[in-house]
Amino acid sequence: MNPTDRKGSIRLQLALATTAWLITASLLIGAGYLWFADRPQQEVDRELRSELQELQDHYQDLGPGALAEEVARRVEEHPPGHSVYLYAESQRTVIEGTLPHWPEGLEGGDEAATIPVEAATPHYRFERQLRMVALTLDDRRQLAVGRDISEHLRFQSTLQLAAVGALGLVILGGLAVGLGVSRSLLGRVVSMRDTIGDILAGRRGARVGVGPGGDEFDQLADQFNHLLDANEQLLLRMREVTDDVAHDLRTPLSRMRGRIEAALAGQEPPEEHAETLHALLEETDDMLDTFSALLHIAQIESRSVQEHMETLDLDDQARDAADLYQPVAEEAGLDLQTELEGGLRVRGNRHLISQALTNLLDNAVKYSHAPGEIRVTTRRAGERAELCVSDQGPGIPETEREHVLQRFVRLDSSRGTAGTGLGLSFVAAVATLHDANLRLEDNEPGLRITMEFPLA
Amino acid sequence: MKFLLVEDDPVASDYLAKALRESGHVVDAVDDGALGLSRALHETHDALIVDRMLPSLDGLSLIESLRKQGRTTPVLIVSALGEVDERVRGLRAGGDDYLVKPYAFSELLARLEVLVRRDQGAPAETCLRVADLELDLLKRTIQRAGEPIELKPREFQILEYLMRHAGQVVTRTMLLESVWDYHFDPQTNVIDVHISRLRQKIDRGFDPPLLRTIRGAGYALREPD
Repeated sequence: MNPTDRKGSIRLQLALATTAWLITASLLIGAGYLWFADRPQQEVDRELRSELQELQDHYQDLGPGALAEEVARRVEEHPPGHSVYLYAESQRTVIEGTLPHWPEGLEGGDEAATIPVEAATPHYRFERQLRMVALTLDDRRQLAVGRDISEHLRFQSTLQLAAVGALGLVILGGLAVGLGVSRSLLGRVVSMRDTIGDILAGRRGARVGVGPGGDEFDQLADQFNHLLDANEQLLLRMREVTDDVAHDLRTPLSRMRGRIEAALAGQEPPEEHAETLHALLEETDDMLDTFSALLHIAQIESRSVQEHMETLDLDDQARDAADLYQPVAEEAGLDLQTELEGGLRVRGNRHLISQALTNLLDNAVKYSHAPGEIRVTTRRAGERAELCVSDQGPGIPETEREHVLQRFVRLDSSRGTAGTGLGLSFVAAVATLHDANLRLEDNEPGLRITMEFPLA
Repeated sequence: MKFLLVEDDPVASDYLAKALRESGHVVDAVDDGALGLSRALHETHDALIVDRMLPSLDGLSLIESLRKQGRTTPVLIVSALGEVDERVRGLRAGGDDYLVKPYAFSELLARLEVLVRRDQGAPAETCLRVADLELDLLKRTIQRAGEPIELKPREFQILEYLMRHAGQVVTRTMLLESVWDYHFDPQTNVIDVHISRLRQKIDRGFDPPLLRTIRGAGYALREPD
């Protein structure tokens, strides 16, 4: 099932929300428009009423004759397209006024009314819209004042048309933008989902496309790809380990099996049984060592020992390990020197750092030729503390330095010596756990290995 | 000595009981935690050997219950859980020593003997003595047959440990744990060289030799019979 097709899909929700907001906004704008558009007409009505009042006052003060004169004067003064005046005997006979007839529908009273009137000029006839107020005078005659609001009404209707059109466009546009935005945003989420699907389906190389913009989605995609890379690395490493374990444990197991089989088949004289058993015991112990070293490295790499971190004195660690190896080095004709900075406190697991140090010293003693010097050094380097073991042995060629940190890697030159081939992998794992940089350098001659810890 | 072995793997249990009996000890073997606790409470043993993962009651709970009942019988924990924090957990529960599987039988035996001897209580001494070898803990000096011997600090610590456990087998691992607090075995037998240096200083030119190598197990500092 395609999740975006569901009723609860984000795309639909987003589009609905956008539409709801647009409609609300449109209604608010419309109400505002109507309220404002009505105001000019009220203004006109007020003017008309006051002019009518003026004329009524004129009538009451000076009599009907004067009113007729005044009306005639105002008719003269204002063109019919602007103002209209009517003074009529009844609703049929106009005494004086702009129009020849009393318009149909115009009643006396306080109410203003919009009246359509056929206006004729010598050249053409057309319909005008008049806003009029009328009243009945004391002598039953009728008086009316009006304004031509045709232009205003035409303008208003144009405005209404424009507003409705604009609203329609806004709603349609909003919908389109909403759909477009949600489609483009969700497209990227969907692309991530599809990538996960691909990976789950076994295409482990699949990655999410990262746009050039560097926006939040790009950052998410980038992080996501990093996660996938790390995951892939882990998988690769796990496969390597499995292969290595298969190789490095299967070989001695086959050897042991062959030996046991030969002993059982009576191919060796019984007096050699004890010797065979001793050899088997040794082989078993070696395998157990390899096995626990592998397990230990795996535990460190999974960071399950993080909780045992304490603040410790790096110099003490170096001194203890050097103390332990001093006699062995001397026996081998090597001069083991310590050069300690003092006061270097780092955050770490004491047991792991000690074991990494003894691994390094073990290698240094194993691969050095007498006479030679092994140095254990601690040094402050800015915000970091360096712990360094150097020897004057054959060293490691630059091209091999990365390689020797992997599990079971032993250079051909060291095939004959004892060891699990896990010593440096262990050191590398301990360094990673402590956020320490691990450097393998040329000691000219020999190898210099430096672990660079953050200071506590 | 009489040991109570609480171990649920029948093969491992049989093998260990047999080996202990061959070394001249008496062994009660049970394969269940609750049963082990009840026997530890109702019978007297010189030491307990307790596996951690057991049916009905795990090893650590067994030890905790035992200690709550006021029993101080020494307990050696044997477990496949070898990380340092597991060891700490075992000792906090009331265990006296912790041995990670797989182990050499000689290592287990050496540790049991040390545990039992420790339980019998050595008085707080300021001077340790084996034959004509004397170690003064206060002055931190060593004499053999009245002659002063100069030792490096680590050599002093090693000798002190050997003298405190005079007559007993001390393994390389025990020395690494007590002198360096290292709970792992370096690939090279570094301890052997320390011992041979120490031997040069305390045994050379003196008779009889006191520091013995016990093949396949470790060392012992003892007067010849």
